[in-house]
Amino acid sequence: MSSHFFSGGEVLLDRYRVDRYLDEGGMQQVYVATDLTFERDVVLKVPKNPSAEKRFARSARMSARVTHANVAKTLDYFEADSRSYLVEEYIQGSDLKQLLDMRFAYFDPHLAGHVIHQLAKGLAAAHHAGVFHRDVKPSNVMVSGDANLSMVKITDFGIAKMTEEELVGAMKDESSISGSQTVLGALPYMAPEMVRDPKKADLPADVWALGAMLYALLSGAAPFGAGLAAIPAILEAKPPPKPVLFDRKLQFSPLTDGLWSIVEACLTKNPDKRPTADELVQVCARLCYSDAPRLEGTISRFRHGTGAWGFIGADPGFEVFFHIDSYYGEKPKPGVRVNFACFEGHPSHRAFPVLPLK
Amino acid sequence: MLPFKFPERYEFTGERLEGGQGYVYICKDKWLDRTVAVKVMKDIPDAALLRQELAMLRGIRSKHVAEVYDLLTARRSAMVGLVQEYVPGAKIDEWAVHNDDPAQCLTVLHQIACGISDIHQHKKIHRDIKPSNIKFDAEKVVKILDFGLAQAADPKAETVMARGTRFYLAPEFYCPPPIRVTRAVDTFAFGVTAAVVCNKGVLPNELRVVPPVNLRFSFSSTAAQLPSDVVATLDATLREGAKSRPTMSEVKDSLERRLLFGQHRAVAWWQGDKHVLSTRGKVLSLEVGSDRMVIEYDGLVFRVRAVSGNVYVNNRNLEIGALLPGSCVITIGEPALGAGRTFVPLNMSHPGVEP
Repeated sequence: MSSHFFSGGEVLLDRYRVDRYLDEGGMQQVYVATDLTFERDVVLKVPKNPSAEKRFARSARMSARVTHANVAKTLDYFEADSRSYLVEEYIQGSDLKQLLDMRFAYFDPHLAGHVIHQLAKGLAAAHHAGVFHRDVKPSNVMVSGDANLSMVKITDFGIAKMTEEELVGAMKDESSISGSQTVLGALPYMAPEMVRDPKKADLPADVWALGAMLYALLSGAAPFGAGLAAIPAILEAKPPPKPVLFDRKLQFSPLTDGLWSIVEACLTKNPDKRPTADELVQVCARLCYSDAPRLEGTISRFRHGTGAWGFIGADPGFEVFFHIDSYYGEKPKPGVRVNFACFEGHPSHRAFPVLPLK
Repeated sequence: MLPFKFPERYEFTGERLEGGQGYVYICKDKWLDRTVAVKVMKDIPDAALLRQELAMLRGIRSKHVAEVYDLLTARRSAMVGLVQEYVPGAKIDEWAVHNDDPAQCLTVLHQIACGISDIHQHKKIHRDIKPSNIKFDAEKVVKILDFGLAQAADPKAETVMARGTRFYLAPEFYCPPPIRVTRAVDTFAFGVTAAVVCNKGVLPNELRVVPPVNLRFSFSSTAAQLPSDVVATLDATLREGAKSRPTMSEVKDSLERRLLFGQHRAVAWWQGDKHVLSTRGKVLSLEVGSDRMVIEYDGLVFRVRAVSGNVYVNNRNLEIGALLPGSCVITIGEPALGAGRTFVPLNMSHPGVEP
């Protein structure tokens, strides 16, 4: 863990005031700053070490080539005091990895459909611009903090070139890979050809990663496991098991069928046989997922037995009915936080779907 | 020639576009290796307007509004340059000239309506909506440009000057001042813009009228062959009374409904089987003894076509013609039967229409 470059309050170029440390990736530190000229919050990224600067500049240029609502906007790039800085739009929320670690164990099919559709559109825009991401994974996706996760944006394009070099190094020396957080984080989403020879991988590797990520959203775990143990399974590209809830929550089919065929198509071993990002967008556009406004609340009571049902308390005095079949989880219990959409009913409104939160 | 020395970072490509009050210099941002548009006012006193434009743009977050990157200030004068995202595609009227697919008109109008609706949600009025201020980006996403006349949507906002573009100015601008400027002026300008889009890129003669009242124009007669519900909404945007025009959010919703026509899906679980209702004109019939409900999909909504006996939707009686909620349980049987009744869960969804 390297120490923070800024403690807050510093002003760069008379324009960007560093407000707070946000996060840190393998290659860079990330801060929230205020763009004083435009009076807006921005994200400021700084490479951790000087050897990464050249790559960092290239990554900034790659990101800047893509203009799409599902790709984090590159606003500025500059060098000051012998450091490079990348300024990106700020999204109030978190990255998808944090979201899966802290808030959601997994997504219900409707929410997963929404997220994958946005990601496919962002990826297609990047591929149109000839930009190969190389490191599509949950921590490189920013999502807004609202209950609908309305904003979904891919970030850190091409920065993975660095990861790739580490990987090549690690392949030669097994001991170094386990020490590299960057590689370990990327590995579960890497396509077989990427693991085998990163230099030969191309756009289809992003499509694979998108499918692996969709799997992780639906099941809560990466398709081939975590860490080095995932390598043989990835190379073999053996189809992962279907998420257990798919067969238990039949109300969510045919959406689950559609999502599963996306996962299968993306996780095809032969890169030439995978759908293109454009094809994925078309498939996602035909998926019928509900984007009804969502709320969050806590299960207040639940009655077991056949046709089990319960209530969710949202605002004080406001209770929403739900049926066990609408609950996308194992066993509802009072006290469990849930994310749900709400529909008119009498005497209580009715929730569908109901997704348990961590 | 540049009006003042731009920072070395921005390299002028030699291409300059002329707008109403300013010029746009197409430059290359050498640091990020991308093309940007630098807008500079023609007259120095107008430079303050550019700062005002920035104040209007600031904070609007919409996929249909071009991003601002930088503000350049001249050393020896009060001139400023606003560095913005370069939008490389065609203007929508240029596009409409070559468009032969009426369905595409709907998609484009929907995007424009989304953009204006976003601007209005941020409490701003654009005041210069017209085809030459709307372009496609590289991903064919519509972007609304030029916030030079934009102002805050203040209920008390009045103006004495009818600035804007002839034929796109709402009727209220021709009334004696002070003129109340509301979001409805954008709705009117959107209507005229929509007419251009639907008329192969040309402003229909019936709309070349000043002041634009008693218009003899209807969207029913355009080349775009729009369905009647869309015609009604678009015609309403050109009404003389500002208050009788729909909001842009209503326009957006109306276009969206039509884009989703025949694309919805309702999934019901009935007698242990999955029933999918997704074809226009088809019905789903639920019957237990003498209790019965028939649900129909007309391409836009799911509604009750017939009902008799003890049938409840989310515990309520629905009459013939009533719309079903997006997610519901239909309960069939006498309430006294309790858990012995038949429960049919029904959930609706639809594809996404956003670019």
